[in-house]
Amino acid sequence: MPQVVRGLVAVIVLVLMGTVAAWAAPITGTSKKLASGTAVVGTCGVLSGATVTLNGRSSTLLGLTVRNLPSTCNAARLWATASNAAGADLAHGGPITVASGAATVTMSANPTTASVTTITVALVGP
Amino acid sequence: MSRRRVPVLVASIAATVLVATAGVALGAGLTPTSKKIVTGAITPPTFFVNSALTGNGGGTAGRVQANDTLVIVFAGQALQSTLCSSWSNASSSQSLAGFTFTLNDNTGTGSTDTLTVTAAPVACASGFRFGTFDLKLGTYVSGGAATFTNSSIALAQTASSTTLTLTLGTAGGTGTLATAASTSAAVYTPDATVTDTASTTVGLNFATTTTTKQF
Repeated sequence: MPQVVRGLVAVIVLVLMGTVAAWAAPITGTSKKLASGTAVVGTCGVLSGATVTLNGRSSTLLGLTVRNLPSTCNAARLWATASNAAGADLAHGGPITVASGAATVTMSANPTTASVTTITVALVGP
Repeated sequence: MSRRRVPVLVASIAATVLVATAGVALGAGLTPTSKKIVTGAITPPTFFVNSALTGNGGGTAGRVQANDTLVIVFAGQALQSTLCSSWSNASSSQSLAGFTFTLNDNTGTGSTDTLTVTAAPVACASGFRFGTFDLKLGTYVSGGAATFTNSSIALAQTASSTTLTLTLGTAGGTGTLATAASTSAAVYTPDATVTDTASTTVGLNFATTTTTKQF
């Protein structure tokens, strides 16, 4: 290869390298900040003493009131689900804020009272 | 190691230490918290009020008058003696006249009119444990209470239900009866001490009527 050509090739290679260096220089990598930790999920109290009373209308469930909730559950939000013997959700309602150990829930549907075998309540908070 | 590489190595170590320190600082500042959560299954009551329904037997809808009816249905077999002392579950039906029902003026929550049983025949020695029927409207009677003497109560019972039919008698009293101006969803709250045959009280269970002009 003639020396002039070699010289040109060398110049081109150097120019290209310089370009690559120019491209690489402005890149500033960033990353999301990561952190982890654990927290114990507590309860506001035990529901074993809770009771339910019904508001019936034409043999259907219009609503219900959950009573005898622990005072430590006041201000918690309560959801209630009425289900049948197969465990199907027949009607539900909430959230309702617990006050004085009770919460009255209007149900999303009106199943026959005879079909309701279990009322499941869930409280979040306070 | 060449002298030229030493500064690079030192710089790398310093950078690593900085990054690690930042990570420790970030982790130390994290204090997770959680909401309190609790769930539970509750068995619904076995003895409660399933329905309440008024009927117009007097001729004018929305006006409380003689021959109008109120039908209450309990889910469960009521212990009849907790309603009227002389009644017994040996019979599945009862019928008794001589009651006085009173339509009370504005005595309900929100100044609404209520219907109660205020006098019972001697067969119900300690009275009739009815409770209160709140019409949820205050325009059925005004200027005092209206009474309905010689009213009657009938009971019909199956293995799983108890039906009370109240029929209004002769109107009297100081109150002036009027036709309701609008509809309402009335609420029947039974006497909490009424029990079923298993001695379970009806407690605070109640029933709501459909929204209509009552009676």
